[in-house]
Amino acid sequence: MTRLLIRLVLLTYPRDYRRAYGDEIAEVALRSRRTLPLRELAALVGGGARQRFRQARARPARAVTIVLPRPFLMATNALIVLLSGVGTGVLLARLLFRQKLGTLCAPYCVDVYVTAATPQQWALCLVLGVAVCAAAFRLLAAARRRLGIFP
Amino acid sequence: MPGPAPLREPTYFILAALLDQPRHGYAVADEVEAMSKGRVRLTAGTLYGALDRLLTEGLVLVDREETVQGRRRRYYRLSDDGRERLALEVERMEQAVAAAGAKLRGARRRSASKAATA
Repeated sequence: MTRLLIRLVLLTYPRDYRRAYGDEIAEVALRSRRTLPLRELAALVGGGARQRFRQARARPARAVTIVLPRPFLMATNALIVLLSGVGTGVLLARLLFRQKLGTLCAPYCVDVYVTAATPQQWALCLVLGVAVCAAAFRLLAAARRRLGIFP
Repeated sequence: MPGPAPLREPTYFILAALLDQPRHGYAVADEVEAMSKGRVRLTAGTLYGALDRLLTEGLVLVDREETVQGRRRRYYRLSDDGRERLALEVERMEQAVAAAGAKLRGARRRSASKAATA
């Protein structure tokens, strides 16, 4: 796991938490080579999600009233969810079809957690992400069968 | 009145790792792995999630900070509350082991006497 990838995954944490603990977390993650990188990656994303939920819960009223009514932010989030869904779908497809794993999809998967600020947005991202992932996976599976993509 | 909820295993080992001396994050992860004989391997996400919660609850305190090769590193230590919480957990587990141990010994004696009579 490269330092760049860890730094990217650390974006899932809130900014102030990242500033306070980012160096330490990166150090521990980089030195724990005995564990599987994917397990480490998942744990970091999970940790970032928990921190964001904790912060959102601590200031729910302000976050909901300021962030949610803005159509531009909602549209941006929806676009990022779409990209994340496709990215995740491609990643899953590559995993399932035993292709060599690339990191091209990782930024899409991370962005969704960075921009969502409230529990409502998280829920929306989760639902849309899962739906788009399922759709992308179906499309890719069909393409694989008919066109021979991802042999 | 029931005591506090049982500690989760990673939390228990993190508190135990800080019993003898303050440690930084990586040293905590190493000590936990050594204490559990390799069974509990903390990822960075799990470790810092737990440390953050323990700091909020006042069971762990930041002892000091160091900068090593331009990177900040905190040393954590057990607070008095943390020590007390760990002692409670050890007591709870000792009681659980004693209760199950007594039953297990009884069951072994019974099966041994059955085998002897047969």
